Amino acid sequence: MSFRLRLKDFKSNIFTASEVELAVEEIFEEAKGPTPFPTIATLREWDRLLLSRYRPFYMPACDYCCLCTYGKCDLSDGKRGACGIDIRAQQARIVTLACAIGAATHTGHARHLLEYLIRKFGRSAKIDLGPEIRVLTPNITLVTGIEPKTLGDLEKVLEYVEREIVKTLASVHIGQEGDYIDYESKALHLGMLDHVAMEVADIEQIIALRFPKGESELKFAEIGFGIIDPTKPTVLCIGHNVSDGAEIINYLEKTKLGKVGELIEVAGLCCTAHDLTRYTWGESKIIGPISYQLKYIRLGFADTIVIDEQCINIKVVDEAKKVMSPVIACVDKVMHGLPDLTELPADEIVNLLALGKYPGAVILDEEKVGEVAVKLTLRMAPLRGKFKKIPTLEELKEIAQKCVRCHTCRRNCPLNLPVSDAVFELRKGNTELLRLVSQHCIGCGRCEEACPRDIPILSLMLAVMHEDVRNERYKIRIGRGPIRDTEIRAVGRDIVLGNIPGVIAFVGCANWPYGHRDIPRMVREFASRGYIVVLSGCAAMVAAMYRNEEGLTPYEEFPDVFDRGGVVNVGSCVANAHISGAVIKIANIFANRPLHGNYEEIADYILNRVGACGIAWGAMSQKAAAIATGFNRLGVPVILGPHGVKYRRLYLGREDDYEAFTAIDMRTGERIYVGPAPLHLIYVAETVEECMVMAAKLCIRPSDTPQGRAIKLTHYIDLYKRFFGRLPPDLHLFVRSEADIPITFKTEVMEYLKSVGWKPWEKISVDTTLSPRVYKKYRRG
Amino acid sequence: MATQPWLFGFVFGIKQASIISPKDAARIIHKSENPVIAIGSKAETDVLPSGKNIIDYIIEISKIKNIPIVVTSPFYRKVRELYEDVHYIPTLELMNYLLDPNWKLKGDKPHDLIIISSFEYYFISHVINSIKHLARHIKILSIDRYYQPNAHFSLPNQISLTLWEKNLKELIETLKELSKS
Repeated sequence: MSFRLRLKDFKSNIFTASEVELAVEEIFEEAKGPTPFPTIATLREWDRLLLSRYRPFYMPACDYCCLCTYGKCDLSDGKRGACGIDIRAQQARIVTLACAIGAATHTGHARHLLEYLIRKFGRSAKIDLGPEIRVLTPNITLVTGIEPKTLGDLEKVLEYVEREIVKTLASVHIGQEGDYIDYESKALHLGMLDHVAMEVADIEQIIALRFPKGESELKFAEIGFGIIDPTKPTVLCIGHNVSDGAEIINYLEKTKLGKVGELIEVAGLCCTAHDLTRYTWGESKIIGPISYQLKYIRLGFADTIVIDEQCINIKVVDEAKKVMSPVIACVDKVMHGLPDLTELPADEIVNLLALGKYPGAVILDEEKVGEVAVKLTLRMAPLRGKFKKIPTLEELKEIAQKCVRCHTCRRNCPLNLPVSDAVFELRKGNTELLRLVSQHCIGCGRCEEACPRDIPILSLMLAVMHEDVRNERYKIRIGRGPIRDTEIRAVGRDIVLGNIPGVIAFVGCANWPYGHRDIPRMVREFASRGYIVVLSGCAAMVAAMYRNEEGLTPYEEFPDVFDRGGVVNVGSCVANAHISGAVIKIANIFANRPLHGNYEEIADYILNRVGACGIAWGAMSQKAAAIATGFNRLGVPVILGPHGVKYRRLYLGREDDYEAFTAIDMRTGERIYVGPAPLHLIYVAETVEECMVMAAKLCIRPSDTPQGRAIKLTHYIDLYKRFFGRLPPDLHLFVRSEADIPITFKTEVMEYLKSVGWKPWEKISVDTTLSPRVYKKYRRG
Repeated sequence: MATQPWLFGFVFGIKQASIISPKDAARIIHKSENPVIAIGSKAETDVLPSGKNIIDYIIEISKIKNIPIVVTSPFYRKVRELYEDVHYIPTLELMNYLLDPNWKLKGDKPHDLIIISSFEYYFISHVINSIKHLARHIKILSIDRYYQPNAHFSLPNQISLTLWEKNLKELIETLKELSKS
């Protein structure tokens, strides 16, 4: 788009001119592609194709609908509510709502950051990710058809996302959408928008705050309960939005108070911690995932707590009060009833908080937050003396005498952990069971909220974890951001042909089913097997919390390369857009599929050819629902941990549904069987072993060459045999010809195939599509 | 206590499982035309006061009525060494299959009863909601240690392992008697 303004005679108070020509060129490149800026209905047909193969599987979490005053309406036994809705549509509606919340949260985050960064750096700040990245915004360009060049250009993208979220959210109102498949299509739409919003959020902070731009082998940051020097004043940032944390660092630099960690420790919890290490290139520290929140506050190390947005425990102010730590709330979405002191001078705010006039304050000015946080921390440190309320080991026994083992704590624990038995054991002085429970605990605090005897169970855990806490120090690779185009070029072929068995992405929150050690276990398993492992968010953090026999964490053990056997931390939640971005870039850069506004074709390519699988083992939030659903629309399957059933809906395929697993052969136009590859689009695994086997299986794609398929089947068979002691019973569905059979299992696989009457497939194609529109576009002859 | 879900948050609505006695459970199993048993990931650690594992009792039930057992975790590997009619099917896939009256693991008639035990409580409570709401042809019977509100029928909460084991024995004895008649 461009315009020219020609003025024949121009007169002003200052000067007079004739024949003035004002030209503004290429503010925006014209949106291109078949579906730029798609609205709700634009990709409906693609969604229906996906959902005819991967059918929604519902686990209603409630018999009722209680969203309007007609209700509560009982929807059990096939009944419809007063508005006419049935149980399926109601579930799909709630999923849509969850995805809207998730997408809105990332969009709100991106919007807040963008306004802050434009204020600071101007609209014209260029989007430049270095010489090795030419496809700067794969999600944005794929969806909208435009290539934003500056921070200002991102405003148009966010305006589009915001508009679509509002429209889609409106469908949840009574008397709007009624068909469950159409609701699912809306959820998928929101998931797609979520990835666009995440990309905006991360790209803008990368360029404006000078985060790493996809470089490999960056330095390590420290992570763990024990990384903070307890003799130093400490400011703790909790949340996801780095703008305020960045200003704390800026203030330290500006006032020459030394680097991070010299005079003051700056540490973070959850994704803001990731982004602070990206901002400081590893100088700030990461305490851990969101599940560490309440426990770490109680340990009393934080002299000031700065909260920004998302996943912050609502009890944060009360908890901070117990250890005399003032709280600064920096984002208007999260104010926790604190007084807004934004307009007061920084020193006055520090005085008020240090004197305990208020437990905390809202400060909606990032630079002022930086100044107040640093001054307040220095002031509070000697006053507090790292005050904490953790009982001594001697006091434990006495407190535990109050326990009558009523099991109320256990019956309120999301994990059903034997909390009651563990606390009761303390009466005898036995701390071992509570120590074990604390290793699995996700730190929600529901146990002590429920305790009728007011036993501070989390504090008891901290008391028995004393040694663990002191020694917990690991190394994590700084989040690098995008995968470089050069890396995609190097591995695209091997991923599509199957020579690299797959890309496994560990993403999501900290609602681990069996403690957080499952993540490093899976990371090591897949990296050792030559999969490319990428990580983000809380999953990326806990991956570091394991040492092998040589004392190395997975980040030290495996190279930081997007290549066979690499382990890559992309960064915070919003950096998930670089994972979806990487699979999009495989289709675009390696396969030359047009990117601009070309969603269906690229998603179809990914579904059929890119062996990628997400694992959100501790998924908990609505953001995680939106992220996973966005991956699904793009053709990437996702496995959730067992808590994932609470999202109510999965997309499951059936291996015996041969019709569903047909696709169009691009060479002949004939519809042929392609095998259940991938079998599911979103799935819940009950155990970590099931998850690993399923992940290996979900990386299988119709495009695998015989060599690639044999490699993928080697891992599937090997994992299945290790955990279940036999060959997978669906193996015959993945063997197209003898050339697909892994050489290491050749004899037993052949015997098995014979036993089930397997015959080589008559029609095999590695060039298939689910979409008639894609076939039509590339039809030969 | 016996009428409440084991985990307090797990109140799903108006339809809650009928609390039944072990004898009733045996009658329901006996009456079923094509039942299937599903055993979850906690089975390996569900050891009862006599030293027997839950799977020992499950196998007894299976033998009396020729019921296939699905073990949904790697414990399958050990169970297969003890018993032949055991299968590994992941829980979500099993439930998805069971929604379809035409799907059969064994037998000619549609599966009309799924007997569950030894799953993570929070997990199975949600998963069986699929059947509770979306399948008319099949009922859910929980013989787990803890009351399962989303089943159609459930043993009560049995905090004492001794009580659970006693109930399992009573169920098996009743089932044997019913099968003789």
